[in-house]
Amino acid sequence: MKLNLKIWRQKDANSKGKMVEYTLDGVEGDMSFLEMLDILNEELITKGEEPVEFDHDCREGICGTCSLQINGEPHGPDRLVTTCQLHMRKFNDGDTIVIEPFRAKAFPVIKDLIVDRSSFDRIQQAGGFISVNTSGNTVDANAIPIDKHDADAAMDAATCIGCGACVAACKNASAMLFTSAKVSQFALLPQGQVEATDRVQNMVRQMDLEGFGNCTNTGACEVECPKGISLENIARMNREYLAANMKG
Amino acid sequence: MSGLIKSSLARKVVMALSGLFLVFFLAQHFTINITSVIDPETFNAWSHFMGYNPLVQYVLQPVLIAGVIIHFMMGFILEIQNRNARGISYVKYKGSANAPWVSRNMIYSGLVVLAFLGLHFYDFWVHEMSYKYVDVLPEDPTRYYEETVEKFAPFWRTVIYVISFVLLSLHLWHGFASSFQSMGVNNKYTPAIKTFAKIFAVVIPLGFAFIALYHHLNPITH
Repeated sequence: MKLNLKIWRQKDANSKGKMVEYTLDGVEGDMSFLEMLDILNEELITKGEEPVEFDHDCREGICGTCSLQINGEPHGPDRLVTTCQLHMRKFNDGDTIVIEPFRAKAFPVIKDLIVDRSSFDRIQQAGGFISVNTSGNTVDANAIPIDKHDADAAMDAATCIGCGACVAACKNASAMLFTSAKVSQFALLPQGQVEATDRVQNMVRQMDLEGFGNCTNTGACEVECPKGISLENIARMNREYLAANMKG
Repeated sequence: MSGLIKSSLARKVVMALSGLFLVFFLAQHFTINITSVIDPETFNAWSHFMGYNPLVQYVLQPVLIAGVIIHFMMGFILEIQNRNARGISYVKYKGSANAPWVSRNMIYSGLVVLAFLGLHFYDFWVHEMSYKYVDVLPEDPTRYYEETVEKFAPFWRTVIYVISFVLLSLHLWHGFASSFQSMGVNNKYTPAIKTFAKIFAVVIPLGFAFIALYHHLNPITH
């Protein structure tokens, strides 16, 4: 199939970017979206032009590295998949595809379609951990009895790959779904209780400091999340946060 | 606690609590107003009570005004922050793909309701204040029904009221149930809360619109 691509090109973090149009022929339905971009880049390199920079790593939908706002939606029109798992069969011959970086003040563009998502790392570092003694007498986590429902819910929250689609989709560029998933994966487990109060306060404080927007419960994040992280996590974080502040 | 006021989550809780308070007020307001259609004497009695009871006048009324101000001021603050959080806008943003229109446009439905409140305050509250404190007219427990019906005589005012109630309905459609999520309530009762909130969001504004239209179509003939 033949596609018209409108791609955001930006030389570096300090330059002003713009949309550039490309026509790409010979795209097949079995190609992934990133493979399609690979072919475009090969053509650009052959012509002596700068290839389009984009993030990617595992290409198996599990690392959270790929991003891209495709036709106005993060990871494109398909549900529960990352861009690397989005296939070109979802598009038709002659389609125009608009490709932009994830947009948020807390995700500044580094080059073309690559954004700096280290704000997520700083939120995680602010409290997304548990203190475990690893000096030789570590207790096997499986030795602690945990309710199956809690274990499942914690695991569901932990499947968040931190790609940033929630921020990209949210009209407020809010990071509530990501932060709440990272709070929930510990809040539901006994190992997470020790630092529960500090964790939620510190992670929310860092989230606000990074300049993400506020949650208005539109639910866009849940719909666009490639891992299907639920809004229930946001409610849980709100509860945890209120409880933590009641304690002082 | 010091960081609480600056916190995005705490601001949302303020938004939710003030919103729920206003929802409760709407239910109370509607209960009294509907009596103007059913039984004018009951309407007069309730209106007189609300207008002259010291607890209502000097405690509940200021609390209500504070609730409205807090709700829209916080709404504006959150909206400005949210707009700033995006930075550069998308060339293409398909909001309809993942979120309902009402949830994405609370600021606009809210602004219409706020503008309506300005008119509504002018129509009834300012009139009431000047009656009691400027003109210092004597208490008259029978005047309220007639005054209310006369307000809806002009077609333009009735239309503005009805349109505002439609926007109020849209605002409640998202806002009522959403306030529970902001306060951390998302559990087995959530589907029931959402259903109740949506019924409320339709029935109450529809009822207010009915009252306005009823009085417009049934003027008092002397």
